[in-house]
Amino acid sequence: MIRAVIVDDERNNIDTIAGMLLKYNMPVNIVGVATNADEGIEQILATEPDLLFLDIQMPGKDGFDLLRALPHSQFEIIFVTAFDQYGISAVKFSAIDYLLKPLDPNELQEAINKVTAKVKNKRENVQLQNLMELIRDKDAKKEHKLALASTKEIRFVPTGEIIRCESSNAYTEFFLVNGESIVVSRPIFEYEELLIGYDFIRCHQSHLVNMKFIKSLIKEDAGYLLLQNDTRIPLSRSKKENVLQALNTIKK
Amino acid sequence: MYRYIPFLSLLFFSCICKAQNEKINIRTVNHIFLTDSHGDSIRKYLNSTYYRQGPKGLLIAAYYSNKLQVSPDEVENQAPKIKEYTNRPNGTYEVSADSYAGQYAIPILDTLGVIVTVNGINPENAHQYEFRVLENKTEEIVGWSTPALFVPIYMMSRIADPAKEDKVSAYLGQFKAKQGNALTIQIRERANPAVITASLSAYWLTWKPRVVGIFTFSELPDFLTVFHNQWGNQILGNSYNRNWRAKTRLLRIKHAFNHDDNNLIFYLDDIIGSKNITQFNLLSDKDSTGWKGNNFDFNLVWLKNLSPGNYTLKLRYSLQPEQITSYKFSINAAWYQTIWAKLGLSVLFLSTIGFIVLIWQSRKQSQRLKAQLSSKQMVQTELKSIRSQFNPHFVFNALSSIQGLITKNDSENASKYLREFSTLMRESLRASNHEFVSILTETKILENYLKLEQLRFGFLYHIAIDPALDINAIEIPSLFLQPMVENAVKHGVSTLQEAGILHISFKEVNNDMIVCVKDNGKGFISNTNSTGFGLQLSKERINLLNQTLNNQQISLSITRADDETQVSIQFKNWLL
Repeated sequence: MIRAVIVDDERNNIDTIAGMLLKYNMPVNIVGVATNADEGIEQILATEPDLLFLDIQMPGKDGFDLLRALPHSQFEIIFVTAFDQYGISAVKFSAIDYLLKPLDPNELQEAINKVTAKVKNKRENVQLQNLMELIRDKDAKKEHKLALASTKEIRFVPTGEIIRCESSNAYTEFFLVNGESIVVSRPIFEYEELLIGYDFIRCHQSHLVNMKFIKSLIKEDAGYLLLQNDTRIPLSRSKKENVLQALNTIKK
Repeated sequence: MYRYIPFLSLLFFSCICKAQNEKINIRTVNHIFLTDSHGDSIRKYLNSTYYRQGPKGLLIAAYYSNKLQVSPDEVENQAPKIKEYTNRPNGTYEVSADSYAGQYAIPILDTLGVIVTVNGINPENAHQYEFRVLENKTEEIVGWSTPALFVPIYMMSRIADPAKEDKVSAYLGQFKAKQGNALTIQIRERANPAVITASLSAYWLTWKPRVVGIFTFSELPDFLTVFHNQWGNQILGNSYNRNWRAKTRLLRIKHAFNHDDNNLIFYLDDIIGSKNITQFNLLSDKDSTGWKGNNFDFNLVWLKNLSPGNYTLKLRYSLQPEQITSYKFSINAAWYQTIWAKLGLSVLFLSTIGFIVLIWQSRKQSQRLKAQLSSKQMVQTELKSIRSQFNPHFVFNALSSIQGLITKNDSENASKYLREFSTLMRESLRASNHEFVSILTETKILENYLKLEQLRFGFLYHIAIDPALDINAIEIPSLFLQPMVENAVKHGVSTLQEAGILHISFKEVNNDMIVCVKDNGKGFISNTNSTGFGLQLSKERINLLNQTLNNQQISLSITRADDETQVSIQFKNWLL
């Protein structure tokens, strides 16, 4: 049985999660609940759970404050949030699962299944560590690591080492500085949202490019971007103006 | 030379003397002397020089053109032959103002020649005298003759009989000779033929202007000094200062000038009586001004505003046009007047203009861009406001449907539709923050929406996407299809319940993407009142979007055929 703690500022939501786990016979034993961050910390330190259901947005200290106050990251975490704007990009950055309210039993089941697998061969939660790093120096906008989850492993790649991403339907291929490429089964637009704050630009429907690797913009035909490794990335008409604007602001 | 004389005399002196072909005229009196009553005509046209040997001797006078006078010193230098003819060996001589002051033969420069009169010989005593004319001292061209012509006495009177004043003087004649020759007129008393009582010589000179000094504009004070030196005494009624040249060192000859010394005064040494006398022709490298009369009466030629270059100034006197002086000089170009400087300056000028135009254009461009940007921002704000309008009817109807499920105790489905509803709300809220979303996101929202509507009306729907389209990558305006699908539900399939079929398709046609929303309902074209709002907004949005899209256009068409209503949206060049 997975030992879990639930932290949510609304009692009803705690009951919903607990009720659903019970209703669908999921192998989870709730060892503690809390309706604010401080209580949550106490519960976690006291019970040392395998899994934490954590609401991000709470009055006073939020979910991230709670995580910051914890001495270790030796537990799995499932974020539960009402609206996926607040802080969710940090979570996505580390490829950590999150559930949206109202909960979908299927999604909950899937998340629990993953946790079960991880708990079996217990080790450091690297995704959580990455998240901690990320939220620690959130303002110092430096080389954060993006979690690229393939079926076999999760790779953490500094954003500055990603040259570009290319879409092929539901998959996104990452091209790294060292010549490697990683295929992730997530659509490109999700990464666009994550990487747009790290000077990446969507220059084409299928292409997301790290601007620091752009050598020049060639205006032949519809135009294309010439990267430092001499790769040519097409420009789509609808994106061209945005690209020009973005490249100009970078120069200034 | 000789053959020119008639022509020249005609040209210059036809007013004062009739054309005379003869070298010597001792038969008639020149009409200046004939018509002159007070000596005014004589003074106007002629200079005169007198010689008298001894206080009681005869006064022999020579009259010659006053147009041009030469300096005696210069004549002696230029024509040393003149010294062979002494005009005042001893005794007294008198010089009229402006006349030639030399002691040798009188230099004659023009075709008028010399007219000789003798005071002291009158019709009463003329028989006691005779005169002759010698050419070059030896050849007697007029033998000893008695003076026969008399004219009213001019200025000076010689009293033949001390008791009374003479009214007339003897007019010996008007004499001419070829250039380089001299004539000597001698008078003797018949009673004493061995002694020449009076004589004078005239020498026909070839003469051309000589430049003795050049003044630049900055040397104007020097010029004035020289000029005053030469002519200043004239104010006192005297002749010009004969030694003016000796007294000044300010006269300088130069041949090269700076670019700013482009106003030059060429100082000549002869005394010019009329500005028509001096003529000049300025030749530059390629051009020439042609012969022109001088602008000044005085002995100077003033050239103004000369541009840099090499020049030859040709000077001549109209009296002897074949005698030409050439004076070469050059004005150096300033650095900015050289070809390279001119080229450089014009390039600089052009590039400055180009630069200004460029700045101006880029400023205009940036203003235009700014204007475009602001209009685009306006368009985007408007688009945003259109996007965010989710039909409230739908929202509350959906909630009401869920409530129905709860009252039926179907908590499983109630919970399921609640999730659908919350997902739809979440996704559409999120999408409304984006101008464009992927086809995947858009169709997800549509599906959420359709599931909820299905709950109410029970129709069938199908979303078909061309596999060639990368639904994760290709974007369409967010929530773009929702109003059309909503229309299809509301006015199409809703009344048909389970029989209603709604078909949505995404197709790739060349570079275009065609999206069709088809339903088998009764159609909404006729029912204009209620269709209005949603489609009107869509059309407005298409208009605004088309303003911001480059070479990509969205067009909407609604057709009804085979009891089906089809809304078809063409995204032109969408896949480029």
